[in-house]
Amino acid sequence: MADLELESRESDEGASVVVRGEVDMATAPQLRDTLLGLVDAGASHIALDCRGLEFLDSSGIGVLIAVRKRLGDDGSLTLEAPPPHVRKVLELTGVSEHVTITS
Amino acid sequence: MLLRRRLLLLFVGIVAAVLALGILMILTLRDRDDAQLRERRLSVAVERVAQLSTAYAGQETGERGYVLSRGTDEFLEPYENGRTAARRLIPRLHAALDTPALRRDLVRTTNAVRAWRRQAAAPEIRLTQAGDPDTAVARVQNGRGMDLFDRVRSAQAVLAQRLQGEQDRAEQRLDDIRGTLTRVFVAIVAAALLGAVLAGWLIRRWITRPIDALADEVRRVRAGALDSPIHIEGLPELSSLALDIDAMRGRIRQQLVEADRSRQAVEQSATVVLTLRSELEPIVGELPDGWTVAGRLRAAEGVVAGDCYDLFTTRDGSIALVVVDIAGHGATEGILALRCKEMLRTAITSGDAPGTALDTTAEILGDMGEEVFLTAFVAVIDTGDGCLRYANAGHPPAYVVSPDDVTPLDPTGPLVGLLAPGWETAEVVMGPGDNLCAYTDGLIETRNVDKEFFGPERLVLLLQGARCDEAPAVVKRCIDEVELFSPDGLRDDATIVVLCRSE
Repeated sequence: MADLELESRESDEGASVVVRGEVDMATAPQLRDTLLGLVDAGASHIALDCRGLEFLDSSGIGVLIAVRKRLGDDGSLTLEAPPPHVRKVLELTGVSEHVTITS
Repeated sequence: MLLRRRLLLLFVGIVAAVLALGILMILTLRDRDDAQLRERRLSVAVERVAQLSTAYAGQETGERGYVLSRGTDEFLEPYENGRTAARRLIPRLHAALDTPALRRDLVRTTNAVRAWRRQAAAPEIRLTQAGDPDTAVARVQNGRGMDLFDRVRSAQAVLAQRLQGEQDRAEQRLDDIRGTLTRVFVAIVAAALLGAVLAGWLIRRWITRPIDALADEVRRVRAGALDSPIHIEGLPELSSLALDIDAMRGRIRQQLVEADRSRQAVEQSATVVLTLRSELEPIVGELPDGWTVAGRLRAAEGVVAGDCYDLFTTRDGSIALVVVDIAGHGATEGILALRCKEMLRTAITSGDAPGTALDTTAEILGDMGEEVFLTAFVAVIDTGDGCLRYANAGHPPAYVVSPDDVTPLDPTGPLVGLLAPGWETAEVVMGPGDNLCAYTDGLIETRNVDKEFFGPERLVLLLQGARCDEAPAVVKRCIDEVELFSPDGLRDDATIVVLCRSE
């Protein structure tokens, strides 16, 4: 089983989460609970530190879409420094059009 | 009665019996010691009485010898020795005699001796020593002293006889006590044996037999006789254990009934699921010469996949190829896949370009839910000139493999389910000898034991190697390779569709 480590910090500008490991069918619920929890807690700008993100499958894409939809037009979802293969998945699926990706 | 109480009573009973017999044994032993002591003391007394008799006899012989020999001093010696011995013996003897009768006999003896000495021996010795031996001899000869000493003898005989009697009785008592002791010992051994046998019998009756009976019943249930109740009479502990086991049996039986009911329910719905699956996999009609097509869908769990593909020919003879991947896999996703497939087929058949078909479908589907989305690859191939028009909605790129080139057919729009739709239709040409391969991410995201992905590179290599084969062979080869790569099975649905144009 692939492991996922999440470390969230809340600041004035919003919330940031360090994502390490793999997001797949087994770990996606963990990511969903953490991110939707932040949204429910009132965060409207969420940044994910994706430096340590090794793999993102369609379940993970689903979570990102759900979070993006929840945040609405006023909110933002930023993915910081995703590795090239993750960035490619985001671009292929078109998710990259709806989130901010920084290098 | 509780087993604990029964065992306690049994234990107390055995201990009480052993204790009583032990006390009896100790008392008897003390009696024996007393009797032994008395017997020993009496036998010493018998000996001393004999010594006393010798001492008296010595006195009498010495006194008579002294008088008759008219003052020969050497005869006086036994007389004096006898007196000394008697004086020494009497207090000891007195202490050894433990009945008033015996002591009275001793007193009579000493009184008789004193009378003999006072009235006969002492005056006769004095006369001899005073130089009147004749008078002394005459006194001896008149027999007065003899008479007095006969009284001593008879008193002494009475003492000796009574003493002997006492000693005999003491010996008899000692024998009796020894007999009692033996009997008590035998009784203790018998009681111990009886206790052991009784305990064994009771334990067998109370514990072993009911446990055996319980074990038999449990074994019967284990062998499958779940309907036979478990019941044991007797000890409350075992009866309650039997009740617990019986409750367990009841629950197992209940659960089995429920499981059976669930199984039947599943079997009934499985028919629906299988029907749904066969709907997801298309039946390919006749194709123009030189074109072969094949597809294969491997579901990850259950029998319904979130993947589906479609292959059909349009009215103008073009081949349409659709691959859809819904996030998730299960009956709900399967139905969504089916709807999507039908909508795309309708749109393509009515002449829509692939991008437009996706637009229409996305519009009808609307917002499917927060996390629900799908990716799709739609292609329409003109079998006349090999013109391939396609749209890709966030789907992994399909490949057109030529003899010397590989063209990835990248997305022409986002996945379906995002906020902003809009898909373009792109165009490439499939020349003779070219293959088209579309697939879902489950195929290339399969992992081996080292957690490596199968990856698009391996797929492209395979496609290049199988370029001259017909479509079913290519599909089979790809699926075989993926299964070989990941022997543990697929974690996600995997679909592959191949269209081959022969040279």
